[in-house]
Amino acid sequence: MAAAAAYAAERRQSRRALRKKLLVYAGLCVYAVVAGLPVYWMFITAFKPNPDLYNLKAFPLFFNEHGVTLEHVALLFNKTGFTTWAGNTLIVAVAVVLITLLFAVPAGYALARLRFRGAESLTIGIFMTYLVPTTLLFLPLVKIISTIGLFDKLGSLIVAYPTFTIPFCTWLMAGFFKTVPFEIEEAAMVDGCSRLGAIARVVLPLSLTGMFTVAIFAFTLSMQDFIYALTFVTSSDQKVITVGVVTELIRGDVFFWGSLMAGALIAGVPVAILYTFFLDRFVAGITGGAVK
Amino acid sequence: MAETVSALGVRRRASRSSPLRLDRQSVLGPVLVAPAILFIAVLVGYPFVLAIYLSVSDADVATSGLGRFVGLQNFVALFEADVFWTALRNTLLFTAVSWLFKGLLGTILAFLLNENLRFTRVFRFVILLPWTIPIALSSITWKWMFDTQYSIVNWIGRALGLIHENPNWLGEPTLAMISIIAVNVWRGFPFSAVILLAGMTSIPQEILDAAHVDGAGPVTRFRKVVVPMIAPILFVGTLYDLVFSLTDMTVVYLLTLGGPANTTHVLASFAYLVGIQSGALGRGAATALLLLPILAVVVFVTLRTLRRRDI
Amino acid sequence: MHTTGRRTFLKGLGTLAVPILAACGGAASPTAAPTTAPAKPTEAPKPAATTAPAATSAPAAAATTAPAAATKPAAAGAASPAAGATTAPAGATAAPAGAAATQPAGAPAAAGGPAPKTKSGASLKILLWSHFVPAYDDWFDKYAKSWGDKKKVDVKVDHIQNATIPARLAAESSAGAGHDLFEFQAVLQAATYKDKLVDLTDIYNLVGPKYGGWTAMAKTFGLVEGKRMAIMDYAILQPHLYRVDYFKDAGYDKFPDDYPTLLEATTKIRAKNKDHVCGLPLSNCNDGNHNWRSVIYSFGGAEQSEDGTKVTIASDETLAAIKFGVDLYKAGMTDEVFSWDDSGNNRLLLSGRGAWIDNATSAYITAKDQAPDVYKNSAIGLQPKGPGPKGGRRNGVDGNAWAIWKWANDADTAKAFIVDWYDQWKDWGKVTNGYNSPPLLDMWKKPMPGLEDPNFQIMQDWRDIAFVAGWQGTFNAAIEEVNATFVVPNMVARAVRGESPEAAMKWGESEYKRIFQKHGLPG
Repeated sequence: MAAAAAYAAERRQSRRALRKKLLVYAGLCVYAVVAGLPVYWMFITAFKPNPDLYNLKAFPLFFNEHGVTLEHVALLFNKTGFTTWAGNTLIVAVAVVLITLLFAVPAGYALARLRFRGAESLTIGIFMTYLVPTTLLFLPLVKIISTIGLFDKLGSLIVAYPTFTIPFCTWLMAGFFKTVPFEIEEAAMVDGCSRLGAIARVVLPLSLTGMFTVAIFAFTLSMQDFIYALTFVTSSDQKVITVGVVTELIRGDVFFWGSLMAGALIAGVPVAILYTFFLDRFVAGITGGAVK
Repeated sequence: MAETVSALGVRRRASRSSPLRLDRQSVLGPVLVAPAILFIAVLVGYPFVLAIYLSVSDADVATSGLGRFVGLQNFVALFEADVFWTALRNTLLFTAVSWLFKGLLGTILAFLLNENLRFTRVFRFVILLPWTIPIALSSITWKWMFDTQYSIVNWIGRALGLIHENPNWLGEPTLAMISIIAVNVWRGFPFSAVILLAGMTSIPQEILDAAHVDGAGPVTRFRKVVVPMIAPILFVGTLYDLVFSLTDMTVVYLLTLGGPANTTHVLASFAYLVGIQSGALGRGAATALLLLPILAVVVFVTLRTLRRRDI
Repeated sequence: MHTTGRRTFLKGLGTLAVPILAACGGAASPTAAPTTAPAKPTEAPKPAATTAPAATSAPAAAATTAPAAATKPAAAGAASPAAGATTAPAGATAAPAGAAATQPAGAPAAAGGPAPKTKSGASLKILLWSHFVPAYDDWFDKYAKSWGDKKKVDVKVDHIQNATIPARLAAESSAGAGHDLFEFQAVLQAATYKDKLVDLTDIYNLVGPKYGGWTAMAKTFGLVEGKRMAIMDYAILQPHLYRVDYFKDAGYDKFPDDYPTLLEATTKIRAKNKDHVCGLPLSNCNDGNHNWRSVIYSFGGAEQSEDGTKVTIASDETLAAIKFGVDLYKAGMTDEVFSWDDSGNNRLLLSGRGAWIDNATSAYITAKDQAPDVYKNSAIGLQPKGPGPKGGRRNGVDGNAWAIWKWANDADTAKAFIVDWYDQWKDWGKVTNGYNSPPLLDMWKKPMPGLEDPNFQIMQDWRDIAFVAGWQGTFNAAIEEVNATFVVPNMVARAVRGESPEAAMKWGESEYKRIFQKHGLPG
């Protein structure tokens, strides 16, 4: 796209470019408001004192007469095991990402590039597993989990989550591998690489975008689950954020709104930061370099 | 594309020249796929088969081992419950509409972000948030936002003069369904965009440049170059999303629990209520699995086509 | 041998001889029950099975006499325990209470058989709901730990959100592992899990006599086929929380004593300010379940027959209750009630718009911190009486119950813990401000712990007017499903939304029957 701008020497074209730019910004702004408003609302709620929160006459979009409070956040950190939950969430997510990559990348490659008997039915079979709702699948699964001695342990989630990250990530990786021009891989093989060598030296670096997407996807998905985390783990020191926050901050018919919202923000924002400001640049650097 | 031809060529060459057995496709393929298959087979295969059996058994949550086989009794009982029909209709509606909007909004967004203007990264950060915040927690936020008294949505609507009375977002059947779908779209469209964007950035710039030099406009470039190249990703992404929407109940469960008057249940949430909450596991499984045959055919055919065609 | 013989015999009685017992049991059994129980603990099922028929007359009597006590709290306060026993003579509550009162706390341990012994070195994992009163969780955790230290038992307590308990129990049942001792919260699944739970009949018989016997409600709660698969730890009462100032402005010095007056008051309050509304949830939430049961029961409508086999929801009384619901909705509610979860009515009160709601005291207590102005002007009102010949004062409440999994590390240790927990009743009553309402008669002596506060005193009049789901039978598996699928609030919701009350009731009845039949009951 940058190249396109460079070609635009004529004035008319640059005016058109400006208009397009404005249009893009306008579009992004609309998206940002739609996506961001609920998040902003979480933020306000997390720091607003209760009397203002329940005051119908108070201006809801900002802080009011009682100002800003750290009470909800303090409750989250001091009265619940939030730091432990956050740590657990991170452990589970990282482990799930590694396991997913370990299984999905080779399988995805095979699916995209290799022909062998039974591959098709098997891999389609993998995808089919999605069709059974986890809301019921967890009961039989819990039997297996408890047989291998992981019931009520963090390990149960590390074992269970790849069941829904691997199938999708395998197919996703296959898609990414297909966008790597076959000629490049072929050229490497002609140059004397074995197939595995070609994969390691050419195909994988070129598929880094895909791998990072898959990693982020697995990471996020492992934080999204609710039902497994809820039913497999109950000890406060083994809970992950979602379940910890929901099970200890909704008490019967009373919601601890501020703390709930603070928990949601702390769970969601770092991943978005990670994706936006770190991986994004990293990926762009690597793929850009490799291709050119 | 020409890939199939060259793939055949390589296979011949590889199997002839390589001393490594592992380089042979017939060996390497299964070796690479086996771990994934095994993992899934062990952890999902058994529960999957069991779930199918449960749907034709009288098992409840307390049954150890297998329940008694009761044939299609559970399904018959389902057809007699009017909530079931509502749930079925809602499931289809929920899935189709949110799928459509996620695809549409996601595609537009991917294009906007792909322009890579200044501040794009900030926008991307904000826009990604709905997807990275765990759905269980954001659904609770939405519930708070749709509250009958403290609804910020209503407040803004009133402030802008768009509405004069407070819509009862979660208490009016139609509005409640709209709210549920809206929340699902809200949390899902960034994902569609990310998948699409990842696909777009993985296309080597040279190919796009070449197309540009050939005089192809942005629309043509998209249609003729981008779409075919990222089709596999796009396809699997949307299919995944479709299936996931069909079997997910989080939003419904947390926003309305199927209310008002059981008008917003989807099959998954109804299955949960019947199977887990009230303990009739067999009937719950029947509810959840009802769409399985149809879906299985759809997924099977699409994936097969996808692989055969190698688009 | 003797035991099994008895049990089989009783089972036979239960299924075959119910009508006969109904005819003759009322007079004979209640007196027999408490005296025979100590010697032969296994006989305990009998009183329950036989007193049930007697309950036909009891609820009406108890319910109608209770108001008298309530309207002159001073008098009732003085003579409470005795009054309780005398005002409901025919009732199931009365007999054991009276019997126990004559031999007060004399030899409680002996009366109920040997107390369960803890095993040193055993472990005890407990699962509880995240209690509305966080202070109770703190208290419990500390208490459990110190109990464990004393008994050399490794105690661990986990708390999860109440709505998620059924899913967790399903998982533990499937795994055959998890916790040892747990608490059913509102959703009583004792019948569902009967084969996987330890029979608690012995500690039911042990604890009961110590405290003058169980309340009527606790007697049937968790009773499955004559055995105590779960025993009530406490109930959560659902009083009416109302705005004193709004009622006063409309000309009512206190909370109306019956439903017609309440309707009238609601209308007047709203005429003064259309924003001042009331709210009973017409949505899929648990508050909807028991709020509308309060109305239906008080009007005299019952869900099932006493033996729990026949659906009796379709009746003139239920119809009247549904019609009343429609009138009440028109007079005092907005459509927000269709969207509520359990916290919806709490927020109505907190916002200052709520004139009255029917909810646990949680809404009132949280107002202290979250909406001080509302708190100052609010009070707790007694359950109003329903009209008509079968009308009475019956409050639909939530019941919680202890249960022990069969795979418990050491069932006796868990039992010993339960027994000891009941002995702490003063502590947990105090720490929860009476939110945990006791299941044993002697614990209802005024002043009750945690209820000394004048604002809460009225909660002491609840002993005989609290009813869990499933009246006039027990909270059985079919009722569990009726509850889980929110048939009761949806039945009323249909009428409010424009269906004829008759059609709405017919729909409700068909749902009940469908569910009952699925559970193998005649319906």
